[in-house]
Amino acid sequence: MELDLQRALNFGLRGELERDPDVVLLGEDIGALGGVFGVTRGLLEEFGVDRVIDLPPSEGGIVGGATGMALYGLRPVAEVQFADFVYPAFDQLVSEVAKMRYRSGGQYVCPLTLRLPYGGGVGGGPYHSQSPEAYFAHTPGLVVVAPSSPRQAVGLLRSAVRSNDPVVFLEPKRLYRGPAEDVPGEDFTVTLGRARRAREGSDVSVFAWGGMVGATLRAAADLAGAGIEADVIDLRTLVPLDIEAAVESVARTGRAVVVQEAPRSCGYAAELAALLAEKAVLYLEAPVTRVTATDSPCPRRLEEVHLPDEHRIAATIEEVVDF
Amino acid sequence: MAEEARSLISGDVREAEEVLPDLTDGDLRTLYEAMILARAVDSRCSGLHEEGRIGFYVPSAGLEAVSAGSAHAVAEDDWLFPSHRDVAAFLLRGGSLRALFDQVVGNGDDPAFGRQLPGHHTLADGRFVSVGGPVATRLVQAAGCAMAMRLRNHRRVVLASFGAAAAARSDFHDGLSLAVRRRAPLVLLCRSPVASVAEQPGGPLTLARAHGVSASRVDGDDILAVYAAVVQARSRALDGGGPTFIDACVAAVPARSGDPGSAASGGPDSDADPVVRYRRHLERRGLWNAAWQEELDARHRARIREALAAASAAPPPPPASVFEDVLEERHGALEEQRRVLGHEGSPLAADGDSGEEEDAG
Repeated sequence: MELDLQRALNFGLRGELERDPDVVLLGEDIGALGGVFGVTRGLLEEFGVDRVIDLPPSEGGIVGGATGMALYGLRPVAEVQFADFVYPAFDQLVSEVAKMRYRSGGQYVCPLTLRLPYGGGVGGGPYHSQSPEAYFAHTPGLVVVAPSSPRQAVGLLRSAVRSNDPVVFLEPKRLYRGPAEDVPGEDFTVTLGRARRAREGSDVSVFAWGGMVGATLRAAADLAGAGIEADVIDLRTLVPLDIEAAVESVARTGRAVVVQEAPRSCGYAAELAALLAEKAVLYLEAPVTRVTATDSPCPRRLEEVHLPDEHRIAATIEEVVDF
Repeated sequence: MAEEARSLISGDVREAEEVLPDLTDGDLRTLYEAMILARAVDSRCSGLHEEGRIGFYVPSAGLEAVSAGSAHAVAEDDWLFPSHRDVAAFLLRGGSLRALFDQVVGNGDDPAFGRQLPGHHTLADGRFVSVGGPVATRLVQAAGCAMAMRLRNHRRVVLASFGAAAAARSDFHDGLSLAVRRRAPLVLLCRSPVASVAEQPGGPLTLARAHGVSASRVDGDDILAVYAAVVQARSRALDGGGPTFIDACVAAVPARSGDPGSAASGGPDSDADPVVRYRRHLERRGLWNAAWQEELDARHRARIREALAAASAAPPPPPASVFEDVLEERHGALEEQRRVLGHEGSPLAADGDSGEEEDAG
């Protein structure tokens, strides 16, 4: 089936609701409206109010409620309308969800999936554009996933819902109505914690996730014309990180660029750069270099100045190759 | 003028008998035993704090009626989202003294390996959900858990207990709002200090009613009144009536960490002490005498001494436990950190060598 991200996620969620009666969806306007991005469209009609649960716009309530359901043994999939609005639920996530297994010695676990439409590229301004992955990746006890395409999203979503760990699932909203991709009809999954090579090359390793993989691949295609072959690694899962795949790539190319949609300082790219400095320094022929958003909130106008795009990615790759 | 709290214990014995016909003499004595055991355990834990053997403890002396009365009123399959002041409930839900002291000491026999501060218990077998640090977050989870019970058509309820300070948090409103909307089978048990109730006629009770939750005030130092209120709330929840809020007014909420000058060290010894009040009630019913008390005290002292000694003698948590229970599987970064720090299974731990030779070259 050729599906865009929005339809692919709808397909994935429907499959999980059919497969496992313990799967329930919670969120604001996910029922009759079908979610602000239409991801849950039609699911209320198909599965009813007990499985597709509309809740008031209180993110602490949505996530806290999902946590209680997960503790009882259900597999809730909660949606917060925009990742930018997840902060009222931060206490539940960081203090409760992330620590439940640890503090109870495994007696209680929270197998919940938290779907967060994230990132820019849609002119959303300061409150509809953020990429908050670093907050969650910094918190022990959470799995952090960022799919880059419809097919990846379905495979990762299935693994997230079936995982016994809490998963923060970051959906690049710029892709909801973006390019369609063939999604197999059968029940395939993508293992959490494994990166994938999105493009093979031998001159430079470029690491990206979620909404930045597409721009990175476009940059790599442009550079191929100039004789630069980039090895593009789609991390897919930020926690646990597939560091072996990253080091293996850098061992072959000797150069590394990390692309991150979030602001520059203390982002996830910094973590990956530090790891490569620790584990791959002997292979490196140039500094590990980041392409990121600016250290400013995301502006509605001039978003293109704030966010990285294929041109900035390509320019940085060239600099690193020419170093 | 503050709304009056319902009381049963001090009035005519026949009234209590009529309201609570299901409580046998055995039940009544079991409750008393649980109360005084909880008091003795709490006193010992506060002592451990005073002796400097543990760095933190939240006393529960004076709260035995709320904790024991509510825990006895729910069924085995019901779930509790308790607080760190629910020592009596922990014991009534099947928690052993040994398990309690394992957690307080934080030894290697504690299932959570001493990760949590003393008194933050977990007892999955007793459906006593892990007590966390933040105030009131559990109220939302309790509502979600109760919603899950309804979805699965389980005839069960959730009992959440908390202090009145919870009403200052947004979680309080999130929890009540969820529970009301979904008619969740939830019993919300709030411990409100009598003094603050007198000063503030509103408070948690008013807020709960504003959410449309059925709410009442009981004498939280009266174990029978608490028990009756929770039984009624539970039955209402099972009948599809949704959540009930019980404002349990208590004379003493002990200070944190066992200040010797506070009620914490010995509990309130005035007429407000829930243990003393219940003892008088039992005496009037011919269910208490000094000889039984002496026997109980001696037995409890011995059991506590034995459990604490065993917990203290148990090995400390193994260092490798730091790396467990973060996620279901120990992921690569954690595995590497464990190896580098030389814990269990690493070359460093195995032979004291640097373990570098294998990788050399």
